[in-house]
Amino acid sequence: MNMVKNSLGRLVPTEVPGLGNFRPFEGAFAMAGTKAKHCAFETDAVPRGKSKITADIRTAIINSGLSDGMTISFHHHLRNGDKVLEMVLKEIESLGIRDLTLAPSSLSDSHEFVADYVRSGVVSRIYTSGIRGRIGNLVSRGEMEIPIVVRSHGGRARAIEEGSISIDVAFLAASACDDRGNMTGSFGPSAFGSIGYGMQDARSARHVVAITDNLVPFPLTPKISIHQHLVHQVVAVDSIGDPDKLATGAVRITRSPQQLEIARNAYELIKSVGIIRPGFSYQAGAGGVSIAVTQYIKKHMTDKGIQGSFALGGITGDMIKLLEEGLFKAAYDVQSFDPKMGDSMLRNPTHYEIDPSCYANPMNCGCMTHELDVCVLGALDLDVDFNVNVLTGHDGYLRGASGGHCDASAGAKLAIIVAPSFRNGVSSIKKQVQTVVTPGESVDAIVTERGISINPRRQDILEMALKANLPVKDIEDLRKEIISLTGETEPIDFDESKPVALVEYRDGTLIDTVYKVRS
Amino acid sequence: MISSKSGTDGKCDCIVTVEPAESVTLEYVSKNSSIYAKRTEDLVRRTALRYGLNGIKVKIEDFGALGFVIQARLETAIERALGGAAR
Amino acid sequence: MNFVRPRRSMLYMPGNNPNMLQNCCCLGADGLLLDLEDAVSPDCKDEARRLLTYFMRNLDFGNTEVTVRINGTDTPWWRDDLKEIIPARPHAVRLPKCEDPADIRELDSAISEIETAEGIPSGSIEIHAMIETAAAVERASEIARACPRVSAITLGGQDLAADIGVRRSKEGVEILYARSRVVIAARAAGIACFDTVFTDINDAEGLYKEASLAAQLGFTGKAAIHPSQVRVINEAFRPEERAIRHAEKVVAAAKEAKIKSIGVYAVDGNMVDGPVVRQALAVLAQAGISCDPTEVL
Repeated sequence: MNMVKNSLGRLVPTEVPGLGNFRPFEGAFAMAGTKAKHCAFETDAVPRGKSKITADIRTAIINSGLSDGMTISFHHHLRNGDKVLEMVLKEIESLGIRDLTLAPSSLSDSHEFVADYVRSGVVSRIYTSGIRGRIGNLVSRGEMEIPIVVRSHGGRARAIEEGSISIDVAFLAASACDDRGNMTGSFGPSAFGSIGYGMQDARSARHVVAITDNLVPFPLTPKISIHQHLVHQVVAVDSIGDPDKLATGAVRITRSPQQLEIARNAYELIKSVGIIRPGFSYQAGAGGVSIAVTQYIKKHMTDKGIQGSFALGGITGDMIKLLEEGLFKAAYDVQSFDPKMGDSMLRNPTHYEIDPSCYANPMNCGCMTHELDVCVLGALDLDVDFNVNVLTGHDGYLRGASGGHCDASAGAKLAIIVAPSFRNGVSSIKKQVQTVVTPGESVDAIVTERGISINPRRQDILEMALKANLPVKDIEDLRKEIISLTGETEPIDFDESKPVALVEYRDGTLIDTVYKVRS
Repeated sequence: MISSKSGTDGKCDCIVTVEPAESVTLEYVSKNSSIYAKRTEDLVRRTALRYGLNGIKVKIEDFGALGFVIQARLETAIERALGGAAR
Repeated sequence: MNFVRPRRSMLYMPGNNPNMLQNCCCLGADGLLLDLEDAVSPDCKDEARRLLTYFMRNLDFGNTEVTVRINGTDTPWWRDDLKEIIPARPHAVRLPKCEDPADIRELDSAISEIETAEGIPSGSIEIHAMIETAAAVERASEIARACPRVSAITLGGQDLAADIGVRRSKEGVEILYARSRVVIAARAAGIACFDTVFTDINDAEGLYKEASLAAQLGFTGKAAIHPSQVRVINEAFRPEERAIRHAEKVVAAAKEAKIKSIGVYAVDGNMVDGPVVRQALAVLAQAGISCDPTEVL
């Protein structure tokens, strides 16, 4: 494989057998102004009067024309409660179909079984945002011949629209669906809220199969998220998933003193910059610290009577409270972290359901992350150039997700990364981060419980932070301070002749490579 | 010298167990074992030397502890093993 | 102690818990009480003091006052506690359940021995005494003056209530006299005093009320049993804005006077001398602002 250095000094391949050609990363907005591609593809029409109801998943797969080497997709809105991916792969395997590209919007902890389907040859390529557990370990150990491709939410949307991901069959779970294929995730016994990723795939897949455990009379009311004209088949099953496992458990406000201290520092920084003002827009991750920051911001907005414009996400219950109290005019929801978000979508007209292209695709007429004032995101680790890793663990194994991290960071006027100084005895700040997912130029500040480091590119923020007497520290000083407690870690034994994952930036260029871990 | 242990399985703590032995050996059980292997070995050897021990079998179950926390627990385990005050 | 530092909140930390200790320096508390006594079970006393010593030597406490509560002089552990932690240079050692100034003097000698052996400036490690029984309240003044090392006395309200046979209430009338007595004894001896803990960690409003009462009674600070109490206590001890602004003026004038070697000066028509400057430094400290006395005195 021919490797070149990208603008961050990371080696990335230009040509990968089984995947194709790639360009190296040249900057967060290097591709701005270039034309966006939209691919055309052939798809079956459904003749007038033909029933779309298919008896079971197996028959639906046969009807879809799925064969060896094709690409299948799923949304991950049911997160850890999803049952659909396993049901479908099981039938695919029993039909003897092999060598597929699995291209879900992401894989969660409950999708570890994908490892078995890789080993049995059903899946030979994976395109995903996140990967962890047994399947993450399998990929990190180099058991797949072709490297996986990790994309951000905005990047996947762009890739689908331009045809880099060419979905043959999309299997879309819906918590309510009628017999024409009008579907939604906003209500029903297995409601999961926004079906944003599903909306994207439904538009761009050659064949769309709706899978529901709640078949209702036509027309679906009171809300249709994906309309029938995009859907080929409808399959009713006993259960699409367990919505109680959907909430990642991070919707509670943290009580950890350390996390609250980090949150307080982040809030003080945001306040000092003076950006919480009428029309303020905000995105926060779903982690404990982010939710705590949201609470501090909420109190500030309430006390000062400030009305913001919109909240973006990753929408959680606490964001909706802000919406319903009139502190935000709108909430844009590409994925709900709480099953109750469906209720909110039904009763709050400005709880908008959006697809990931609207959310974060940098190559369209203006995605929502580009409108953001502030985003507060987490990190696995960081380096002194402010690059962020949210993908690989300290042991070198794949155990995270690109998500909307680089999308939100690039777009926000103030992008703040919150992280504890060290986790489990290992420093969060390194000289060089193991895997770059978000480039340092997109990160304005890093906030820990031991201090705040401001990106030297943002002297304006530095001045305001110093004026407010915040605990500002030079990032190298902060790193040294933390290292004096944790010590330096020993290098991971990577086999650099074997890339196992390509990290694609939102514009399609390669920002980093993940290598095999020698055990 | 008798077998002894110190520490807890609480978050960011470690349990250090020591036993008499012919040589200095270490069993390091941890999510961090690949990135702090050398550090932990050096720590155990240095400490054994300081206590004048030619041989000691050390087992460290590390739950994300900082290096000096492991050091503290190891010292206490050794002192208890050598008959130090555990009361 | 070179700086006149804020001493509003004193956060209790269990001495054998690495997860809590590793971040205790970053929780905004003016002072820390690292506990080897009630928070550590008898069979863990040795491992706790070793752990604590390592934390004391490795963490950067900044301007935070680090105190260690050792086991009482009636236990078999206190001398070993001192032997290990004094060389790690805490600011002060807290002696629980003081009733007799003689106990303090015994502690004082023991500390002196170790200071000499370790080459630590004699008298630099201070003593905080806990007043936790009726007998202790009766002898509060003697305890406060037991020896030059004693720099603070603190009220242990839970144990005191048990000792006098009453139940603690949120209004606290049952320990009101004891509170005032401790304040008077401390002020008369020219030392600091800390109010007892507020045990309901979910009641921030109640905590603020009690901390404000403590401030009003003349306590210099209050104990925090949980990090979430620190900010509330710091807020409650904050002086009035007017007092803070005046203190800032005095300190600014004193700095200038020192640079220009002016001996006599006034602020807002009032003469400023040493005690006035010291009072201003104390007010600023209560507002969370540390000052270097050498810049102004």
